[in-house]
Amino acid sequence: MNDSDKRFLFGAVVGSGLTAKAADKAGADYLLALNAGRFRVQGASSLTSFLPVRAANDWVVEFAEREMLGRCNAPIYAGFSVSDPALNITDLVMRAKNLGFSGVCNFPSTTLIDGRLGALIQREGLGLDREVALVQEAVKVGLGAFVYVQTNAQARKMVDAGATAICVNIGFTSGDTGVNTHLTLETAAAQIERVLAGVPSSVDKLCHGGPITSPEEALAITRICGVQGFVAGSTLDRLPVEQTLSEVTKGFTSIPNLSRIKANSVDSDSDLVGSSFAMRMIREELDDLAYEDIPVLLVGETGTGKSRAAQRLHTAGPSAKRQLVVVDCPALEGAEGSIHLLGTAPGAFGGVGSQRGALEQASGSTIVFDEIAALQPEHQGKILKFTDEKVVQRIGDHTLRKADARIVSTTTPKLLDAVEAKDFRQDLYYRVSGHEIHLPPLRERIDDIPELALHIGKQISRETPKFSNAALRLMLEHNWPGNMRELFFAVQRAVRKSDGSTINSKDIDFLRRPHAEKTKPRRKDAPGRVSVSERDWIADALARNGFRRAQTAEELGMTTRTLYNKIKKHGLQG
Amino acid sequence: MFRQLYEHGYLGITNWPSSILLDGSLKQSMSTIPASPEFEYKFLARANEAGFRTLAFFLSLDQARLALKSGLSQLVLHPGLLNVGSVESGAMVLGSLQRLIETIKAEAENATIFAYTSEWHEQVVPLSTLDVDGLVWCKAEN
Repeated sequence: MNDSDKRFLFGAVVGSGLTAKAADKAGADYLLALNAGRFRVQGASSLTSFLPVRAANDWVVEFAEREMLGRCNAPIYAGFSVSDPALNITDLVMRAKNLGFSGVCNFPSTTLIDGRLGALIQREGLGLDREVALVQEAVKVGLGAFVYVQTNAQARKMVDAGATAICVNIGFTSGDTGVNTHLTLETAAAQIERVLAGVPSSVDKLCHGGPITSPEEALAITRICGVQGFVAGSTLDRLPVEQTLSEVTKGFTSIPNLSRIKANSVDSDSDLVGSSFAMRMIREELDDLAYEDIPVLLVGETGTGKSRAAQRLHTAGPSAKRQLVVVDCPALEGAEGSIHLLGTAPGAFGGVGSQRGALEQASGSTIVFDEIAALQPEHQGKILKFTDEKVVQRIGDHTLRKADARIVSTTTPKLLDAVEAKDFRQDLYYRVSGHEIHLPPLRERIDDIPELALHIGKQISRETPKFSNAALRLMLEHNWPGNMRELFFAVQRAVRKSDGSTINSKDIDFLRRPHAEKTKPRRKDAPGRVSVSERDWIADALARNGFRRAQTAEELGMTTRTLYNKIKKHGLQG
Repeated sequence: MFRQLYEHGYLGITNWPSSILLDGSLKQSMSTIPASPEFEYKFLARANEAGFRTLAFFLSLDQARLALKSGLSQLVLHPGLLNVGSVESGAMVLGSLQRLIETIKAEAENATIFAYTSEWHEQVVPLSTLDVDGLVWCKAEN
């Protein structure tokens, strides 16, 4: 049998009807009614189970009878302490059987008491011997026996007595007690392997505690040693309850009406998602312009969806079937940039062939000048004739060629400043801005964030993700300086962290880190270049992250490669 | 709690069963909740302030010092979990306990020290022969 064929066994220590029913519904194989679980749901440590606070056995019977027995499908085992020499174990087992327990468990077990006290208890016959007797009595009357052990000798004794499940206790869990376990997963696995040596396959083999605090770690342990499953205590009933209570409370104190939000049914890459008034108007405007041959200038901060808007204009228009041509204006430099735009005539630069430029390539289609404000002055002049007359003169050529393309440009909101500063030709500005559409930053349309998050999540995982209210609240409180691009990577990261389950605040708590816009005043825009806000945004983030590019890219919600390109584009190399 | 005890007629409080007997990893774990001698002594000190008499069990010099530091003056020496196999080893245990008492007395002259014993203890280590201020005798019920 290979690893994937193994059935994973899960035991839940339950201290209340609520936790028992929840664990039962979720498919637990064992429900262990232990006084430790009861202490935990009352807010105390499970270690209290070793203190003489109250009679453990009566207490277990009392809460299990009242809240669990007859209400769960999974077998319920009663945790009994049998060290009291005056206790009649036979009577105790019969009581458990008559009440409807499926089995018994030696808890609190003397095997967890080490040192001289533990040795004395064993020497006096009040320890393992009586726990073995508990197992024997249970088996006699047809009950199961789920036993905690710490050594191989204990395990073998329990198997001989008829135990049906052996659980290796690998010490108290750090998160529960504040005690640091010295075990790693590997050393814990080795310890479990030693304890379980010789235990037959007919006996279920589980482990509990130690360094294991998550399902992933529990699964890992089952893969590297012979144990079949894990028993969860505080990792099941205390930590999740605390977290859930906290999140639900935050949800109630957070924004209302989140339940009304649905994922947008449209999932095309080119669609501008959002039900806010602003986005509805923008979509209408774009659709109205689709068949109009008017140069459109799309204005917005970085990541606001300018490229998507341009794509929508193209795909909604008459040339949708033709290839859209995008000119990355910040990347155009010198003569090479000119060739890219205009192309070359035969013989130009000593070559024999001719070359079409981007303007010509876009003929019959749409050309998008992406971040047109970054166009160098020499290139601005070179496209002036094209924007005015839709003709192109290749470099080295004396003839004009028709290049009838729809013109769409994108820019940050600083283009007019550049025009005033004479860094951008005014005549070109008028030729590309026949109609201006302003795309609002995400912080100005926060109503759209939940819908966008669902839409992006669906694009990433093909299923509409679920966000907790607390997670959505975190997203609504964030300033989103990187706008849609930042949101996309944030959702992508959260989806990955949540591993398919509901996205909780912990999955998206990286948003809590303050951004430059909140903590630092923006630097004065550098003159001459238009995309100053993005440059400053990136420069600030780089400084804040000690110029570690991967970390900076993560904070800005973009890939490292994109950041490299932008660093190059803005001349931010160290 | 103190008021309830008083109404039931109790005049004194002691720390028993006690964490003084724990060792190994269980002792380390229990101290985190906290079930520790220090916690017990602080509780007895509060009982003192509430008007109760107190007896503080201890079995080491460190524990005795903690009790004294908490303001307790009536201490009970517990011999610990004994595993005495011969008369000679019993005498050695007795000698070490006596030196422990003398050390405490030298550090806190006003401390009153009792020794905890029982018929069983007397057979292996005659604790009643220790030079102490009094005995706490455990009588097993038949």
